[in-house]
Formats: sequence, structure tokens, C-alpha cells
Amino acid sequence: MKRRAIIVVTFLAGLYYLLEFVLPPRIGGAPDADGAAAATSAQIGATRFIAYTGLRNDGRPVIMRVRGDGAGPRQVLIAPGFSRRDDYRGARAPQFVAPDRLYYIGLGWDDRTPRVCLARHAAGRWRTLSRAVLGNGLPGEPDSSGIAWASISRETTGGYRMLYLGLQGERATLCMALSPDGLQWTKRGPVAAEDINGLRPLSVTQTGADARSPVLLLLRDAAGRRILREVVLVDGVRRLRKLADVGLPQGLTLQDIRHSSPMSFLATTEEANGVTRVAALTWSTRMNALALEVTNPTLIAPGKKPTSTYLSDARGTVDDLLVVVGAFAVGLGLIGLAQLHGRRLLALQKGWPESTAFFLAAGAMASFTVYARLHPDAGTWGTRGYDLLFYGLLQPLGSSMFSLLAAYLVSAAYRAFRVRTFEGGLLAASATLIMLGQVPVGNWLTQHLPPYLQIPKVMAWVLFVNNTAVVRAVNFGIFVGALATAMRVWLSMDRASMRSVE
Amino acid sequence: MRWYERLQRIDNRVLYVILAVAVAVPVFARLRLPIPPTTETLGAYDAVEAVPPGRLVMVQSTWDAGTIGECEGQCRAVVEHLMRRGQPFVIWTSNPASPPFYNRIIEETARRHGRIYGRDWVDFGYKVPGGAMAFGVQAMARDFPGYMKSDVRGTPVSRLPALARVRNANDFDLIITIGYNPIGEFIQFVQAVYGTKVVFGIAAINSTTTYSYIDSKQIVGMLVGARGGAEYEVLVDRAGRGVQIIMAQSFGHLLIVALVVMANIAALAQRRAERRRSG
Repeated sequence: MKRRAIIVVTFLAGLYYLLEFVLPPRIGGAPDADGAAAATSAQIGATRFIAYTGLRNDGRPVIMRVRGDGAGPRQVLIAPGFSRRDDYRGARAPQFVAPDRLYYIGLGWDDRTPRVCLARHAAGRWRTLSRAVLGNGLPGEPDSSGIAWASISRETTGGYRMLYLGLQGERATLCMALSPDGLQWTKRGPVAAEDINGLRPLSVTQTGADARSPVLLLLRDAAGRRILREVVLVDGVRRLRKLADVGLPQGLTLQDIRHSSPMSFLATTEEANGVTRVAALTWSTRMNALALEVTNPTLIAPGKKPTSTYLSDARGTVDDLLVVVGAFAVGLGLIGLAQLHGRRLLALQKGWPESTAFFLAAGAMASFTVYARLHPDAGTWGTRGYDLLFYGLLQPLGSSMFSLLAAYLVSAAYRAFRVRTFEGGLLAASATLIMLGQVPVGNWLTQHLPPYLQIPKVMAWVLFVNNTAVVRAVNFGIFVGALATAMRVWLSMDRASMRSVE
Repeated sequence: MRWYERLQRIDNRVLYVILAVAVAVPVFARLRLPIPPTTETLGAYDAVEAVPPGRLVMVQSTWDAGTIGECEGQCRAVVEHLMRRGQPFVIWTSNPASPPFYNRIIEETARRHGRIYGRDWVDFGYKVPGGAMAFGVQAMARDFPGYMKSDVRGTPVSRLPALARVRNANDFDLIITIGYNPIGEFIQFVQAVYGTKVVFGIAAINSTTTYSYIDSKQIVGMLVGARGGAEYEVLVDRAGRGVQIIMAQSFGHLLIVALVVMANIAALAQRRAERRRSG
């Protein structure tokens, strides 16, 4: 009966952990359950729609579409593609360029480095290009960490102009690229802008095809306040000149803003809890100054939230239950030890001094630890006693146990390491090399030799080339063997293992 | 007894005394040799330097008294680097004996740099048992606040300023795991899935099996034993326990090499003498 109960409990615990591992913590829910952001208005033929970024808990943003008024069903337009390296970890911040292009920021397989990707509409569907059209720059360049945001406009002359925010670590720099066809881009470097020192650019949007059309720069100051600045390209599009600061709607924290039509904008607003929505804004005047006012604060709200499977929610409770079971095991062990040593001590049998030491050590450690936990900042004899026992006794004893290895190692190496064969010689040579290379004395002994003879360099070659090859070969062999064994057991071909059960 | 026989039969007690002297002298004499950083240590240092200001780092520490010689220097140097940069980090362990060791280092360093608990670092203590690492790491990566729930002081994750808006492994820019045998599950379930960079701090004896992860770029750096700790201490310009230990280790290694060479010369001489006698 007891055995059966243990089997049932073990099976149920194992089943729970397996299901919790395999199943997602939440199921269902929309791809934009955690927020809608960075939108652009688009038109294919007579169909007007909004493409926007859907955010969800898994950290892989997708580009979605919804009707121009924000109502109606929502569809995923571009999702991260396992076969595409440049938006492998997500796609966000789309911008539609008529008649058939959707530029967006793809989060690449290489640590989510953002870069500009392109999808084109053909034969009724959007097709993504296999590679990004504009990637990150070389180390030291202002876009070495990627491109956070892009605003593309098709010039009246037929070419394309892109203003983008290049990232170098956390630093964002406004840069420009030009292209004759929107596919092959040439970077033109940073665009010098007036009065944005100390301000971080969040987004940039061009309001017209003409190079002299105003550009809107959304900036954030050190206090987190948003500033929307109207600027214009001057000096042969190499510099931005400030025109005016645009008034922003009160009570809204903008994350980005994109020009949508001659009079309107789509912006991402952020709530205090971090949830984002897409809002529609339009030009207005406030106190005779240019301003933006909200026409719809929730043009696109976050989608349906997923439902919890309750498995992950219960994880803490199940873990606690297992900890309690573990604590019982420790308690039973302690009782067993106390019984054994207690009997020996009472009868003054052989070894009673060690039994006394056991009771003293266990009692002292337990009481001082409990006291120190209850009064962590007391600085009294109790906490000092804990420090003495833990750092003054337990730590040196633990270290001493491990340090004994050094003594055994010296003795064993001295007595057993004899070179009798060629392979033994190779082993001795590589061991000597690694032992000396692991310590500064190896470098010191050979620092005046040519680099290829210096011990640290040779050690690195041995470890990175020879050692890596051998470890991979061994691992490969192990896993092929494990796979073969698993298949044999699974397909009941391994009679020997089944026989013991029968 | 001939000289070659005598050289092969030195008493163990003599060897132990020589070893004790060899490792003690550099410590007390404060000997210093140049410690140039290796590629793997530079990778770890550069990874911390590349974390943008304000972004979170996760430190997982499993070392304790047994591995203090190899891992204390690593932990001390990493914590020094993070706190000097003001990089917020969370720390947790899968070894219940580890927290007192890393906490002492963190508290000392935080006092020196004026860092505040909750804002600059958060300690989750003993969280994932070693046997449940695959499940624990995956659950943590998927839903960090849901799995961790509260820190060692009982403060819910949602009320810790350093963890505002943390949802999953995407919100960590770097994971540093320090211990005798670092947690490989971070490669399987975090680096491969979320792209978060991983750095290993490892005992030297285990490092040979993990060099292939550097080659495949699954980890961006590795601190190997006391050497890794010493090199990192030099990089952050704060030589401490790691440098002290590696100097002692230098002479220990030299002694072993010298003894092996000496015993082999003696064995060779003995074999020749025996051949001469029999032939």
C-alpha cells in the first residue's frame, strides 16, 4: 500500500512537471494581446487598411492588419520566419510605401539585431524578401547595433530616401540612406540636426515626397518627457534645421509617430502599466502654435488576452510541496542520526566523542542559523556566532576537503605518470602545456619567444582546435549511441531490457 | 639505493610539505607576474561592456566552500564590473550553500559603490533545485515574474524597481553562470530560444568540454578557473583573491611539472641500468 502510494505520488508529480514543461503557460489570445504599436496606413487597390505591430508575451512581435477605421477582424500580415534570418525573431514598425511595398524592421537571428526588411504585394499576397534591404553597420559606425526605426519616402524624381535611427549600443543617431529602386540602398551617414543634444530620438517621419517637406522628430529628454520637433532637410539633405516644436496632446506618452495622410498621423501611446495602443492624431493649432490633437485615442487596442492553463500558476505551490517532502526527508535523516548517536552516547560505546561532536555541531549550527535568520541586522553575539560557524568553520572545512585533491594530485602525478609509449609522451606533453598555460608562469617563461612558441598561444590552439574536435566527436558518438538505444527500447527491439521486466 | 631509485621513492609527507611551501610562498611574498587576458575572458568582459545602460543581467551562482578557490575571484570580478557600471542584475542559485558566499561579495561591493538593493540588484536566493534545472530554466525564461514570484526578502517581483516590466528572458541582455559546472540549460532553453547572450564561469577541470560552445558562439565568453577570475580582476583593475590564488597555483603547477619530469628522468635511467645489467 505504502509503495503504491509512493508510485502514484511520484507519477502525478512527474506528469504535472511534464505537462507544465510541454504546454504553454497561456493558450489562445490574439497575437497583439500585449499591445498594438507602430502603425502605418496602407492602400492596395481600393482597399485601405492599417498595418501595425502586434506585441505578445513571447517577445516575437508580428505585423498585423486591420481595417482603416481600426474595426473588424485582425490578421497577421508578416510573422517571424524560421527560414528567414533577417526577421527570425520578429517583425515590427511597418511603413507602407505606395503602390506595393511594406518596409519593416526585422529582428535578426543574431541577437535580435534590428534591420530594415521589405515585403511586396503581388498576386494578392505579401511576399517578404529573403534578405534585409538595409542592415547594421560595421563596429564604430553609428548604426553598428542595428536600425531601430525607418521612414522611407519615394521622391518625385523616382528614387527613394530613408531617414533612419541607427543604434550604437543604446545611443540612437539619425542617419540617411538613398536608393534608386528601394532595394539597393547606399548609406549617407549621420544627418546633423540642430538642438537635439542630450535628447534621444524615438522616431522620425517624413511628411512628403519632396526633400524639402517637413520631417517630424519625436524626442525624449532626460526626464522622460516627449518633444515633437518639426525640422527640414537643408544643405543638400545633409543637415536638419529646426522649424518649430509641435504641441503634443496632454496626458499621452508617445512612443513613436508616423505620418499617415496629409493631415493625420498614427502614433503609439503607452499607458502607465506599459500596455501600448495605436492612436490617431491630426494637425491643429494651440495658442497660435502648431500642435497635434487626438482624434481617436484607441484606434487599435490590444487584442484578446490568452487564457491561463493554470499549470504554470500552480508551479510555486507544487514546488513548495516538493520542498516540504524534501524537508521531511531531511528531518527523518536527522532523527535517524540523532537516534544512532544518542544510543552510542548514552551507552558510552566506542566513538562516543564523535557522537558528542555531532550533537554539538548540529545544535550550534541550527540555533545560530535560526537566530541569524530572525535577526539579520542585529550585530549581536548570535549573528557573530553564525558568522564564526559559517565563515570561520564550515567554509574552511569545505575548502580543505577540496584542497586535499591538490595533495593527492601531486602524489599521483609523481608516482604514476611515466612516459613509456609515444601516446604517453603526447599526453604528457599536452598536460604539461595546459598546466603551464593555465597559470601566468607559462606566459612569463615564454614571453620572449615568437608568438607561435609561447605557451598561452599553443595552449589556446590545443584547447580551441584539438580539444574542441575531440569533445565534439565524443559527444556525437554518445548521442548517436543514446539515440540508437532509445530507438531499440521504443521499438521493443531491445529484448534484454524487456526480459528483466517480464 | 641508487639515485634514480631514491628520486622515484620520495616520501608523500615530503611532497606535501614541498607543495605547502610552494603554494604558500607566493601568497605571503605577494609575488606578481603579468596576467594577459585570454580570448575567452575578454569575451566575457566585452559582453558585460556591451550591455546597454539600464538593461538587466542575470547572474546564476552555484559555487560554495568547495569551489571557492576557483570561483570566488570570478564572482568578485563580475560583481565589481556590474556594480561599477551601475548595471542592474538579479542573482539566484541552485545550490542552497551558495547564497552566503555571493552575498558577502555583493554587500561589500555595493557599499563601496553606493548601490541599493532592489534598484541595482535583486537576490532570489535558492530557486531551482539542481535536478529540476531543465524545467526551472525554461519556466523562468518563459515567465520570469511568474516563476520567481518574490525575492529572498519576500518582496513581490512587481514591486522591485530593478525588475519593472520584466516579462521573460528577452528582458535580460546577458546571463552569467558561475560554478563548478555551469548550467548548460541556459544554452538549450534561453540562448537558443531568446537569443540572450550567455557567459560561463567554470572550474578549470570542466572547461575542456565547454570550449566548443565558444567556437559555436553559443556562449560569448568563459572564465576558466582561478585564471579566469584573475584575468577578469586585472581587466576591471581590481586585483584581489583571484590574482592571489593564481600566483599560488602557478608554483603548484610548476612543482607538479618538475616532479613528473624528475620522476621520468629517474625511470628512464633505471630502465637503462636494468637493460645494461641484463644485457
